[in-house]
Amino acid sequence: MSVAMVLKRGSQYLWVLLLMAFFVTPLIWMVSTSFKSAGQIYTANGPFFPTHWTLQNYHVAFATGLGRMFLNSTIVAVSTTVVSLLFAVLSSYAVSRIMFRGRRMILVSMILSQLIPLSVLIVPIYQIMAQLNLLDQFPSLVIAYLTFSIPVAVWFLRSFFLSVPAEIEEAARVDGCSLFQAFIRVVIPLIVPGLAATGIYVFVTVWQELMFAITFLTTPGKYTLPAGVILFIGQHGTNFGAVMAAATVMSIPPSILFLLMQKRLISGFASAGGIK
Amino acid sequence: MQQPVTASTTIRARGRHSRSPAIWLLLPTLISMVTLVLYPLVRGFYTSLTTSFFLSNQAVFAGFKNYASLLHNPVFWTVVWHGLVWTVGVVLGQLVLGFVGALILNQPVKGQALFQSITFIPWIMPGVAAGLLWSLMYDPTFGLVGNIQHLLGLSSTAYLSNIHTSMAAVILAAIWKGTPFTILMMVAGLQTVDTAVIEAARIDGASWFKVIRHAVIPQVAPVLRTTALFITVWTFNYFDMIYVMTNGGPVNSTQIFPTYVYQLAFGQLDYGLGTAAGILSLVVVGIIAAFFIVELSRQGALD
Repeated sequence: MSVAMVLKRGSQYLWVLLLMAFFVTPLIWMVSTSFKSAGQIYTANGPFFPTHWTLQNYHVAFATGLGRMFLNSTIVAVSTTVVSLLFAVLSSYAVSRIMFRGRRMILVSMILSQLIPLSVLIVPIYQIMAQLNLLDQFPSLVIAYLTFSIPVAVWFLRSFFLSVPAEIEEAARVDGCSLFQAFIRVVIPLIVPGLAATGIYVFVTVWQELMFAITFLTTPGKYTLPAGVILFIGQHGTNFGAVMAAATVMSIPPSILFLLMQKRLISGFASAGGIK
Repeated sequence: MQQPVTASTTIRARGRHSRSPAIWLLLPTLISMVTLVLYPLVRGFYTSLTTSFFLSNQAVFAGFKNYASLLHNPVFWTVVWHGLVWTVGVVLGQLVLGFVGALILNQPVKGQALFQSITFIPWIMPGVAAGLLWSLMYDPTFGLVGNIQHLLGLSSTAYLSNIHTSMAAVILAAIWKGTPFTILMMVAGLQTVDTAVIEAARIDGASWFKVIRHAVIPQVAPVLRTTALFITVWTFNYFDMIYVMTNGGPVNSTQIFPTYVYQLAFGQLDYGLGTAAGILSLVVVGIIAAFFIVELSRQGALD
């Protein structure tokens, strides 16, 4: 390698290093703080990494109900994901594959409903749930979350439906499959990866939802992670270690799911945004 | 990244048989959208025209009284201004840092894929976790930001509780959280760039900056526009981080629409005033939405 090449390579790595430093340092600090003892946390200009590691913060966090919140979040997020996918797979197929009057209007309204601030919908939905006596119960959250999860899922899945050539389906129809059979046996298997990516995106969005959760839920045993961790801060506002332990725990599932599906998620976004 | 979309991907409806499946397939979605979005919107608009009394279910029709009282309230205009500062600050920061970040991560370095994945964690982690993390990072005595400034011999302050620095502090935190999305979108966009154009510009002796400006940006402009629209709406409507870090304070210095609406509706329990503020914020969202629709139909995404 010539000197110029070495310099070029070196500067490339230097830029990557700088970029990573900005994005990753807070994350490492979050995790490292969660393993520090109180003595190391409450020291002005204390160590970046723990000088000795302790699980004390995790014990405190789980003793305050982190495990229960984790379970609640899982129940709510999984239910919302399953219902949204069921609804969206049907309607997304319709708007992607079948020409009918009003199709464009439905596509546009799917986009518009994603843009409506949840802060506008929260009061009326809260009143509806109060009338139905559903407040402080998981179904109220699942139903409220469908307001944003269905449109997103329809729009996301559409890009995956569009990537399946219609000829495959037509061939199945020629071979005597009904529209329904062709859909179940031919199209669905081809978009399983797309379904997984869409499901993960919905799951991750619901997993972190805060506004509805703190408004609808009032029994601590029912709190989802975001709501519970906020409450938990209210009570243990000064316990940095436990707060960072909770933040770490709630960040793990979305991060892992993302890493599993990274490529497909990005391609879902890219084509949802019209990038081909 | 996806196969080109051609007319042949759509099965054309023929005769009366073909329209019915579309209706049946759409029915569950349409019913839920009408009951969960349309009906609440109408009902919310009605609520915004009523005055309710504290701890009573009686809501009295009051016409546009709530709107009038908001428009005469200086706090409302503070929220409008902060919403603008917050949205422009966060979106510009994310676009600039995201574009530069994408150029950096698009270089052929070892571990490129791994770096791209790790960079994405701030975006995928819950806003509550990021908000808590940055609250502690900004802690004047024990926080990382203060520690780093101390290391560099600078003095630091309690950024979140100072009305002069709180907005900048939450904007920086939101830029950290949201930029990875722009980076990954732009990395995807950069992969579609025609390298021949860049090579040609290089051979002509164009500087790096000129190559980016005249050969790269025009080619990724559609991706850049879509990304900008996505993050503008997300940022304008974003609740979690500010709620966790400052809850709109101190003295409304970080109050934006979502936190303001929430505070009016569920802090002061004034549903009428809260929904009126929310409906007014829809005006801004409507303008962004119009750009969105125009952009998507220009790209053929609605065909």
